Amino acid sequence: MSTNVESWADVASMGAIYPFPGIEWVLAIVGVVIWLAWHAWQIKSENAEYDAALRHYNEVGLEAALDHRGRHDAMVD
Amino acid sequence: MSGQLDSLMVIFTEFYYWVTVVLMFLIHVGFCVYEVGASRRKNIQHTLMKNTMLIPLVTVTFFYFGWWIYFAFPHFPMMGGFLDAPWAVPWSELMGTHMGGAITVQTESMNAADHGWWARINGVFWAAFLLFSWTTASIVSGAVIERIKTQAFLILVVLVGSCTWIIDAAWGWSWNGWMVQLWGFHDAYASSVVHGIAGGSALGVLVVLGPRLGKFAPDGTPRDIPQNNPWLVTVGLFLIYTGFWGFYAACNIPIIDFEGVVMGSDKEAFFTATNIYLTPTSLSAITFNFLMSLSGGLMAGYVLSKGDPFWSYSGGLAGVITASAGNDLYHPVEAMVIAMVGVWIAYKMHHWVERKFKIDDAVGAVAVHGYAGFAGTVIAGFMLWGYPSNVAYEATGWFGNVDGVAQINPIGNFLGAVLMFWGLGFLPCWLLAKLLDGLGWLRVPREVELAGLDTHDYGDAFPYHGYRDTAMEDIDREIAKGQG
Repeated sequence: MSTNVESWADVASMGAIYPFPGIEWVLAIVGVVIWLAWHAWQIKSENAEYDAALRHYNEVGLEAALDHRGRHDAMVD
Repeated sequence: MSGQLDSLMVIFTEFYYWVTVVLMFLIHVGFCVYEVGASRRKNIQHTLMKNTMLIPLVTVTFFYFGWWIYFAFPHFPMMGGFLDAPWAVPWSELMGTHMGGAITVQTESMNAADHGWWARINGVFWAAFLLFSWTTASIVSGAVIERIKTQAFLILVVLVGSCTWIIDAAWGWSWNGWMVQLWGFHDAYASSVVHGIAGGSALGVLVVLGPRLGKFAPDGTPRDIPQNNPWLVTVGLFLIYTGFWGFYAACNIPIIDFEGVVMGSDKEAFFTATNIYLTPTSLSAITFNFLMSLSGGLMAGYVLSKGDPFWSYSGGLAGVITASAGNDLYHPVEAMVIAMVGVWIAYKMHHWVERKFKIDDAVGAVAVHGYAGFAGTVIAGFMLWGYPSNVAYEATGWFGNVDGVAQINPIGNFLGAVLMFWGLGFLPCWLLAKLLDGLGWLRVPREVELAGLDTHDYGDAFPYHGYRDTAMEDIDREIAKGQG
């Protein structure tokens, strides 16, 4: 069983009613890892995006990039 | 929960805070709408996603440490160490679905009754404070649009939304905070606690980030960068006004037996709302004062800007923010006049700082929130001079005492405004921005900024509408050629 609840007969005496009570420390660590990993991924992804944009602008010239404003299609991705 | 009256009070309080959270969501909707309207068409989607993604990051980090900071820090470091807050640590059972019956968390600071209370209130109270966190962080967002990297912004908002603002709330916006106990600090609806610190934080980032390309002519004259949709900007500000109803209500404790629970007397029970300091006010009082300070701000903003929609609406917001520190106690006409003074200060300061220091605050956030909040906190120190600041009897005030507790006074409120704007706002954000800048994470590359932050990745936000060059596009071309 994933939960310590088998009946709602005495709800006034109940405490935590989420699944797997007792693993709060594990959940805390999982959440922190997800948070920090998301930052790491976002930083890497965003910087790669700017690097690609700079490479492209260097190839086609910044004037072309300025002319591209207002176009629906993304210039690089 | 036991006893019908107690049960009703707890469930009413739970529902009350839940409603405030729903209303405060509108503040964030308003900020997103407003920033999208204020940014140029080439930057719209980047601007939107930058502000949107602060929601999950501040929420997660506020779950992990922001909530604990609020309860642990009130005495630290001026009156002692960290306080025990077993309901607010992320591994507590009370940070989840809980009926309050089985007592699993019991310490000196938490008895069985507290356990039942926190089991019901923890989530909604946490969320109310979390929405203040979003607001504080989102205020910074508008100031830095069109050139900050999303990654830098999302790190800065964790600092502001889950660390610095909640430290100032623990110190100056709780009944037992040391600023309240020792300085007699009073800021009932967060002129400095939310707005002053947010304005200071934005300024700290702006100093390092620098102005948008083309904002200042080669001779240093500021240019007016046109908003892509001024009407959307005003709708956003209107939404922020609407969300402020929730903000104000969430600053109160809705119902408490003031005689029995707060004062500890054996007099007949007297049920009232209180502010966050547990001193009395009412929803009627803050409704009078919110609307009168909004009105004063709108009138002043309209006069100063000669009817400009952006500054008239911003004046309404700055007016409320100025009067907020004392809107639990002011007379409505006092609130209106104070709002007008604050708007005058914010408007004049914005333009002076822009010209003098070449600070490009894209939406006037430092002015509307920072300068108005600072001014409002200082004014409240004079206007409310002599009221007891709290009811806790934990310490002797440094700048005068009344009825056994620190009295509200001008020195305490001035020091508090300085600490929040400069100490907890400007300084940490300036330092972090310097670090991020050193890592190359702060500002988008020059070419990307000129082409537009949407151009390489998202594409145009309005694919069915023709693109029309403005004077700024010509300036972009001159800058690209090294002549702007």
